Order: sequence, then structure tokens, then C-alpha cells
Amino acid sequence: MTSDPSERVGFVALQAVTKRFGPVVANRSVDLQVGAGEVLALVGENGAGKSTIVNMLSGLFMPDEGRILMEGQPVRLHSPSVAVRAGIGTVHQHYMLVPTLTALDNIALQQTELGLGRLDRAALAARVRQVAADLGFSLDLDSRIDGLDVAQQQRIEIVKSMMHAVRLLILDEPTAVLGADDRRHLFEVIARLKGQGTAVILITHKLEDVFAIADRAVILRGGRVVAASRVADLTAAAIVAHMVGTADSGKAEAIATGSHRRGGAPAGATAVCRVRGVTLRRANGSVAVSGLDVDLNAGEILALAGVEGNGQSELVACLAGMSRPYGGTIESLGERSDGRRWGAARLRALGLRHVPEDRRRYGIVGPMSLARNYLLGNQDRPAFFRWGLVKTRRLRDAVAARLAEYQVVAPGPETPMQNLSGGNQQKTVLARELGADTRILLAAHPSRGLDIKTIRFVHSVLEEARAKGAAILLQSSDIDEIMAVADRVIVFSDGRVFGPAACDTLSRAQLGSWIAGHQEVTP
Amino acid sequence: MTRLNRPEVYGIVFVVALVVGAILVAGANPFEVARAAVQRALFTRAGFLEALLRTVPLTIMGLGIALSFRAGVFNIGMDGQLIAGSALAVALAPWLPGGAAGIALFLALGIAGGAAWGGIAGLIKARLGGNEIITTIMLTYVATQLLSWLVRGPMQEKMRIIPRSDPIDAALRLPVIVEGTRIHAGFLVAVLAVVATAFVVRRGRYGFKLDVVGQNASAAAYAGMNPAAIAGMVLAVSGGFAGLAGAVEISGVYGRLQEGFAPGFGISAIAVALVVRLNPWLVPVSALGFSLLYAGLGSVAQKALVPFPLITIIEGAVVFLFLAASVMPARVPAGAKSDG
Repeated sequence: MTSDPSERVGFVALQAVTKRFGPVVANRSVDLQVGAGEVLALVGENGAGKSTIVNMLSGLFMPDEGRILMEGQPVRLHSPSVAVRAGIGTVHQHYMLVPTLTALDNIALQQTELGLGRLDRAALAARVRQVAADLGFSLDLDSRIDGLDVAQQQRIEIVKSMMHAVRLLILDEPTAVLGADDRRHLFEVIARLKGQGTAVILITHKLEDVFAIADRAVILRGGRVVAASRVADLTAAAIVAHMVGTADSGKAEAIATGSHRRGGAPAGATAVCRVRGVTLRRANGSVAVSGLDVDLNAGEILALAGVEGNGQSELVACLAGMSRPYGGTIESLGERSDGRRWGAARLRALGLRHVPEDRRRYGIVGPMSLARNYLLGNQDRPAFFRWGLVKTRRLRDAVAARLAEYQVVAPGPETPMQNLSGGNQQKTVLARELGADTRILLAAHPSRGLDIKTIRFVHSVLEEARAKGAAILLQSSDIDEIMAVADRVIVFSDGRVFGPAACDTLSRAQLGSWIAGHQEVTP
Repeated sequence: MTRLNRPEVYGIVFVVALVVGAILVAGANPFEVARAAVQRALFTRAGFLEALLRTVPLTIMGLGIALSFRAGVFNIGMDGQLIAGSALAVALAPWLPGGAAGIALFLALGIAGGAAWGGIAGLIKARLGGNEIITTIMLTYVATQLLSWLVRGPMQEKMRIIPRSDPIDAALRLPVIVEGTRIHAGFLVAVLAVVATAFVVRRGRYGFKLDVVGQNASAAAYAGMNPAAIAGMVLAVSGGFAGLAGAVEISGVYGRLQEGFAPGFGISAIAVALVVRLNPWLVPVSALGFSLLYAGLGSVAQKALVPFPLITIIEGAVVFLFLAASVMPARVPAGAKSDG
């Protein structure tokens, strides 16, 4: 590189950009710029606002306030095609490829300008080969996507996004699924693009990516830019400190309730669930975690942390009996994951409860009444049935009592679930899943998207369940939440497992660096 | 306040105009056709009784459709399941005892045959993920051809003249319950089926499972149900209803197996159930409505007021109108329902 990138004029710039989704502010007055031939790393925890910036630059959302400049001129990126024409290419974290089509067909899919429904495949193939050669790729254009590994799929995505004259390439978590060799290849490609004068925005949560390839880093937290600096001036510890922040006093206060007890599971704790040598695979078949050993003890809250997509959801699905681990065994409440009876119905009968990650998809049936939603997962419990028929009055009374106890704002048990706000839906799910007989509670992001008051309520409910001797697995990506309520924490990061470690001997910075994939905080 | 949705209003106007136009082109007076149909169905004893008679199988099959559609499983092949149930019952009829027990067993055989035929599609769906719309339609073709072979081959009457079976024993016939009509005890079977189905749908564990699978299969899996198994099973259950309807028709009306004895009932049953939005209590009302329509149009055809194919067109148009009308209030704009 001949000149210092940070001195160049911003090729693309965001000025005081704010983006809201209803009451949630995803980006608050964000300023950032990237110059031609510069690699900018966008770093931050989940929910820090990285994806919203990507989506605004790729034309999916418009900013509510502020403006986007290209070469000093304001632009309105009101649709993805406008962004593409402006020279912004995006490789999304989740590839948008049709698995049953060939690589060439997938690229052809988006080449709408090539004519009236007729494709000159030979010419297109020649152009694709040219683009691929410029990037240093050799692609097999005629193999089907489902026969390619993730690294090859990523190359096709990159070629796809480079088919137009791209001056800014956005890579959203490109290294999340790559092995070490493929990662190195990717960085070579980024270096090559940079040499050609292309601006690159690299979204990542991995510190090593930042130091390996980026010129500058912008660190986001809570939708704001908390630091923007040349990478040469940054240390890993500084980035982690910015990402994690010091405890947000208002939030921490709200989260830490008076009855809080700390100190891990009591000595001689009984493990109700033993995970031994478990290997988990993502939906795309790649291994997320292998050789996992962990116990879940009665009377403790074990936090499961880390950037999403590192196997946390897969572990919860296995523990819930909705799937079996790819390797190893889980022994839970006396059932083994390789046994015939392993399944959600059997584990629920034994006292497992599950607050699912995706409430709308798994936890509720929107058009059904609150009372009928209460039967979900309880459909085999004799308390509410006689001869296969629901004891309607008994159910209604029980639901009404639970709703009152959990302060759910709803006209009554016959109200359709979909008429409730998200917070009240979540409380209804908690009311259903937390009964006297709960022995294991899997709580996946139980407070996500809720207001402070409701979050506090959720945490008090978890602590109450712990006091009654339930074993609780809290899947969370919120460091504040973990430090406030959990006894122990285990972190999945990029195929590695950190912990389990007791929360009261762990610093926020250490937890943050584990999440970012670093063993120790370097001073 | 229900706001009508424009596309559906246009659709209704378009279809009405199409039918009236077709009748005019055929050289008949649309009002005369409508009058003749209504008069026959509502104001003649024969027409009304004919409609009542047809209400029985349509009700039973409509209930089966309601169950499977509630689970989001589209059983389009009730005609085939009806044939399978009827054929099994008639084939084994000679070995049945007489009297009430015999009749009960005859109907049970109908259920078993229909359930087995639907169960094939169910197994394909649960085990292999095969689309039930395709498999049930295909199995209907198979059943139709099988019936055609049976009544010309192994099950044909001893006289070997007409393609039909020998009559079943008179002791296996459902008795007439209204003197001087053909209204038979199958009517009571239908009433029983309505009550039982309504209880299962409204209050039963099974009905709850069907609803959850139909409305959110992921939630069903989360709750420890097996959505694929439930979806496969409901095909057998609704096939059982089709088989029951077939056995009731044979035992109550025809007394023997023959070709085309329940023409298109399986498809009509879909309209019957959809018009009342799969509510079992209302299925008999809807079934009576459709039966009156068929009875009325049947007489229009007999009087040769319009060419026969036009009758089918009018039938289809009326079904369409009912469906459009039943969908309209359901599609109230999302904002309108929050004030409650």
C-alpha cells in the first residue's frame, strides 16, 4: 500500500444515520466512512447494529435520519437494485443460493439485465470466468450448489456480487463458517480487491480477522459507534473493552435483583443432565462443536453464551429432545439420547420445560386462545384431560390464575395469543413452562426484545425456579444478563468451547474475549 | 363491520355474469332455470327428500374433510376411499351376522376399508414426505379402476348381465326410519358422527393436536408431538369417514356395489366443509344446502331446460360463490381487529 488508507477521502460514508424499528433503535446517529482500497472492519456483539448498517448500504432499509454519501454526493439506496447499480455488492452471512441449481445458473438468476428472458450462457460463463480469474478463483461452474462445501459456496456468492462493477464489497461474517485454510484464501482475495481499489467492509466478531486484514475498525455497541480507529493503534484488549463496555449502570441495576444469590451450585450438586463427548452440526452440515462435556446441576443457572450460530441453538434443540446429537451422548432425567424413548414428549413428561429461542415459530400458536396455547406441551398431562377431552373449566381457571400470577395483560384466557404484545406472549410462555414440577428449564434468550421491567421479571422468575431446585440452562448473548443471573457460564466460539467457569471468578473482559474467540485478554 | 374485499366482489360478479351469459347463449331464460331449480328443491316433496337423502353421505364426508383440513392435510381422494370402504364391506358381507350387530360390522368394515386406503397416502406422507394431494388423487384413480374390475369380474352378480354385485342380505340394510320415504337410519349415523366429531374438534386432545399441527407444525414438534405421524394418521381417519359414507350409502340406499354410486361426493365434501370453515357443527347445514342445489339442478337437467354440461358449470359457479362469500369476512384487514 502506497498511502495511509485513513487519509483517503471517504468513498462511502454514513452521516448521523439513525434507524428505528418501532420502539427499538438499531442505529443511533452512526457516522462511518470507508475509502477506496480500504478494508474497514465493523465489530460488535449481537444486536450492536452491524447488520442494520449492512442492510441500509445494500438497499434493504432506508435510514430514518441522516444520510448516505457516495463520493461526497448524497444517495438514496431505496432498493437492492439501486445499491447494486451504485456499485455496492453484498455477500450475506446466510448464502442466497438455490441448492439444486448449478453455480452458473445461480449467477444467471440475478443477471436480469442480460435480456428478455433469454440467457447467453456461453457469454455469461465467459464473464463469470473472467471475474473469478480476477479474484484468483477457479470455479467449477457446472456443479450443483448442494455438492459444494461452504467455502466454495462463498466464492460463488462473492463472484455473484462482483458481476457488476463493484466499488464497495460488504462481507457479512464471511469467516464464521470457514476453516483456517479457506479463511487465509479469503483474506488473499480481500487483499487483491483492495489492491484493485475496491473498498471492503468486513463484518466480524472475531478479533483475529480484524488484525489479519483490516486497515481500520469501527466498534459498535448498542447501535452507536463507540470507537473508530486504525487497527495499528488498537489492541485486542481495547477492542474487547469497547465491545463489551463497562456495565451499563441502569441496565445492570435493573437486572440485579435484591434476592440475587451467587456462588454456583451447592457442593455435592446433583447433575440432572450429563453431556458427554457431544458433537453438534449446523443445519448446513458443518461441525459447530465437538467433544463437549458439561453437566447441568439442580439448583443452578448455567449460561450458554457466544455469538449465535456457533452451536448453541443446536445444543438446546438436543437437550430439548427435538433432535439427537451427531456424536456423543446426552443423559437427561434418566433418558439417553441414543435410546428409543428419547424425544420431547418423553423428556417433558419427566419434567423438562423449554422456553424456545424463536417464540413465534415454536412457542405459540398465534390464532389459538391463551388457554389452548397453555395446553401446548401439556397435551399429555392428565391434569387437564378426561377420556381424551379437555376439562375446559379447570383449564380456564388454571390459565386465568397463571396469567394473573405472571401479570400478563390480556382480557382473558379466551383471547387469541396473537393479540398480545411480544412481552406478554413471552410471559405467557414462561407461565406455561415454569410449573412446580419443572426439573430442567431450557431458557433460550428468554428476555430478548423485552423491556427492562419485563426483563427484570423474567430474571426473578428464573431465580425463583433455581431456588426451587430446577436446573436452568440460560442461552444468552447478553453479557450483562449472564453476569447478573448465571452461576456458571460456558461459551461456544468458532468450534471451541470455553468454560464452564463460575461467573463470580470471571471478569466481563474475560467473558467478552472468550466470546470473541480469544483465550486470554492480552494486556 | 365487515368490509368486502374488492377482488372477491369482482370475482363473484364475473362468475355470475359468466353463468347468466352461458344460459342466455344456450337459448334459455336464466330466471326460468333458477326458478325451476329452486322450485324442485324446496317446494316439491320428492326434490326435498332426494336432497335429504344426499345430505347423509355429504355430511359424513364433510366431517372427514374438516378433520384432515384442520391439520393442514388436503385429502382430495375421498372418492377413492369411499370406494375402498364400500367394496370391502360388500365383499365380506356374506360372512356377517344379521341384525343390528351385522349392520354395525358392515359399517365398521366400510370405515376399515376407507381408513386403509387413506392410510396408504398417510404412510407415504409420514414416512417419505409424499404430497397427499397427489397420492390421494392417484389412489382415487386406482380405486375407480379396481371397482370397475370388481363389478365385472370377481364380484359381479350371478346373472353376469349388469356390472354390479349381488345385493347384500336384507338383514344388513339400514331400516327406513320415516314411513313412505327412503330416509334411512344412516341419518342417525350422520347425526352421531357430527356430535362425536364436534366434541373431538372442540374439546378433544386429538382435535387439539390436529389444530396445532395445522397451524404451526414447528410448535407441534416443540410440544412433543410428531407432526408427520399426526398428518399421516389423519389421512387414515378421514379415509375412514369416506368409507363409512360409502357403507351407509350401500346399506341404506343401493343395497349392492355398482359403479358411480356416489359421483363426485368426495369433491363436493370439500366444498361442504370449506364453506363452513371446517366447523363440524355446521357441516350438516352446509351439506343440506349443497344437496338442495344438486337436487334442483338435477331437475333442470331432466327437464332439458339447458344443455347438460351447463348444469356442471352452474354447480361449479355456485360452489365458487359460496366459497368466495365465506372467505370474505375472514379476510378483514389486519388493523380492523385490534379494537376488541
